[in-house]
Amino acid sequence: MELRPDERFIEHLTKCQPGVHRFIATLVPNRADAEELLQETSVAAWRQRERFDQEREMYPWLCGIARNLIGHYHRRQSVARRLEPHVLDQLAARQSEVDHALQARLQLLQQCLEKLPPSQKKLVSGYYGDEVTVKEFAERHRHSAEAVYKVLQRARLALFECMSRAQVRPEAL
Amino acid sequence: MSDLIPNLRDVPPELVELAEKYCLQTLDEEENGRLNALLCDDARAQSFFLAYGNIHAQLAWEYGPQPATEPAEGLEAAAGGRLPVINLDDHRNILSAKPAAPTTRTRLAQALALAACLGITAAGVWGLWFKRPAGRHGATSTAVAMLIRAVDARWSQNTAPARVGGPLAPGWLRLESGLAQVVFYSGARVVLEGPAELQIVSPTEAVCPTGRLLAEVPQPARGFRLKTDQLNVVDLGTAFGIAATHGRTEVHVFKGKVEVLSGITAKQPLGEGQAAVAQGSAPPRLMAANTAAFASLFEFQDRSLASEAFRYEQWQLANARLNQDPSLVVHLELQNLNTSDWTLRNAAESDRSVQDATIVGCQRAEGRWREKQALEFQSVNDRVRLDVPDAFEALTLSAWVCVKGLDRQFNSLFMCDGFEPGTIHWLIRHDGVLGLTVFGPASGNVQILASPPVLTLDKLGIWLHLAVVVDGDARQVTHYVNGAPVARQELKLGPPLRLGAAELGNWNAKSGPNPAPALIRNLSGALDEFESRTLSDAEIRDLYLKDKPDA
Repeated sequence: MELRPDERFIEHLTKCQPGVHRFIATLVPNRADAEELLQETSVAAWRQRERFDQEREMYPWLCGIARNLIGHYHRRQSVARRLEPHVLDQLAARQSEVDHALQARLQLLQQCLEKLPPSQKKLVSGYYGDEVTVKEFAERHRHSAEAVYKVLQRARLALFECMSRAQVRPEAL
Repeated sequence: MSDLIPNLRDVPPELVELAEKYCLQTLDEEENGRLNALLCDDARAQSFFLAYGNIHAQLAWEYGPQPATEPAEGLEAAAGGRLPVINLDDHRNILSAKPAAPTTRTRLAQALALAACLGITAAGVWGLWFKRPAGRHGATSTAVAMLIRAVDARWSQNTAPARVGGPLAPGWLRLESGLAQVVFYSGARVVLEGPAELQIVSPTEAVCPTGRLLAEVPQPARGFRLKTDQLNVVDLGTAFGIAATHGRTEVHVFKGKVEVLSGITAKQPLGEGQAAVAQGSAPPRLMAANTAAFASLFEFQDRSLASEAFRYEQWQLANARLNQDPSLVVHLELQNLNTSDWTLRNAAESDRSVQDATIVGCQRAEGRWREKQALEFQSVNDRVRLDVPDAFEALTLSAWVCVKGLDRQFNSLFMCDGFEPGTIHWLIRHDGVLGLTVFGPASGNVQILASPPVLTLDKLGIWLHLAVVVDGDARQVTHYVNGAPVARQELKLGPPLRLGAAELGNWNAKSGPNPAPALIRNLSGALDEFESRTLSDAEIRDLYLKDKPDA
């Protein structure tokens, strides 16, 4: 079926969304805020679709739009949560430089998740699946908040190590 | 190349700790400062931080709501069965299979798909398909008052430091010492003397549990209410003072009349020269109003007015000189406007090529100071039209604007009609970028000179001096905000520049009666002065310093 230009734009946009979400959520750890920024980015992109050159790559263009929205977002944050503008600039630039490396690592995420001890696996999937804060999650499952923080940290570190190792020695997976 | 991302052992443990806390959003102020410092200028730290944050981001995506691969049924019917097939990425869920329910992610894709089919904007569809949480963005959209002046003000640690000239949303102002003046959007003006607490409730209501204040309520703001622990005061068009503590309130009426309610007694009117004291639960006692008790606040109020009047006089004097300058082409002072006037006189005296400009629509508003007038651009038809003949080798445009919102993709400051060769469009983009589009001799020959996004949300609702200099000789375009250059770029298209028919605050696309949305570029904001000539960096800075509203 022949797609009209608008439809092609949407299809392209939707394909890029996971990557754009990753870009945003790395710099905006609050999940609800990251989701909302993703939506704002998509709407902004849609509004500017006529100016998008089909020959170009959409992902960097979307990241540019997201980058602006992220900048606005951080300026609104309290002092304890804010990434400074120059730091944000540098992170955004670095992101595009190491993007391939980051993507390659994320391919390994699933396999590394498999290798987590069951208790960590369960907590990670519960916490991320439930979309609640650590406090709420801790209450719901009758853990202390500190315990939840610790397990999440251990899990993330384990995943990070696993992915670093696997990149060097894929057979180790 | 895996060596781009450092190993855990090659990264300082402190950074790992802070990165984790960042993902959990448990950093305190000091730790956050530390994190920013560690990341600054350190490529390795940045790579690590990104890779670490990616884990958090990817887990959130993987385990978050699962997107459906089929559009919702109702949608297809609504779209008349012409919905394009969108192949969403396959998310493999590792551990738990969640039922495939439409989620925010899917709904967005569907919303956009629907928009594509029906040719309506995504924003319109957005409203139909899901509500956005209210009030999560734009300080300007919830603001009900403005902080217009502060002297020796020290704000309490708990409230975000208030910015003079900045909008205030409902919330608390806690002034430890000094004096500040708040103007509510209803027109009521309150001078506050620290130590004091003021809760801004709405454009017509405030609460003051402790502190001293002086309120001036012009006729349109009649009915403004001020509550203390003991009393509710309803203003009936007056000036009154309040001295409040948790146990006792005094109300002094200096002009006009108020109505006072306390818990026990019925509504009591209080007239000019009268005062009431309510202590604890006792009924209010009457006494005479005491101006001396509010001397410092009166003085502050007078000084505000005096400094505004002073700056206005200075501006008039400076203009007398400026208007003689031979390089001045257009100077719209936007003063002495009266409602039946449709023309704006060009104050430039040396060059009379432009006699005047025409106002279409627009409301009269207050400018940078109380005595300064301005034009407000709100509706899609508001504009100021002018015609500037002649060709130019170099051109400077400058304006004092107060931008209320950036609703359009391109928000016009000054745009020549259509897309004529040699002309320009001066604009603010939706993302806060200042832009100048220069049209070359051939159609399609265009250069867009854009600044970084400088008009951030905190710059909305306050008066700004914006300028752009097109230097044909040096082949350079520079954008300025408040006297400081924010972008400088090479101009690839040569002079001469022509302006011809042009508009301030809007754009005549010359496209017919129903322009497409992208061709609607009306500014949402106010303008109180506009100039066109050639200036150097130093001169632009001087112009800003001479004219800025605050001393």
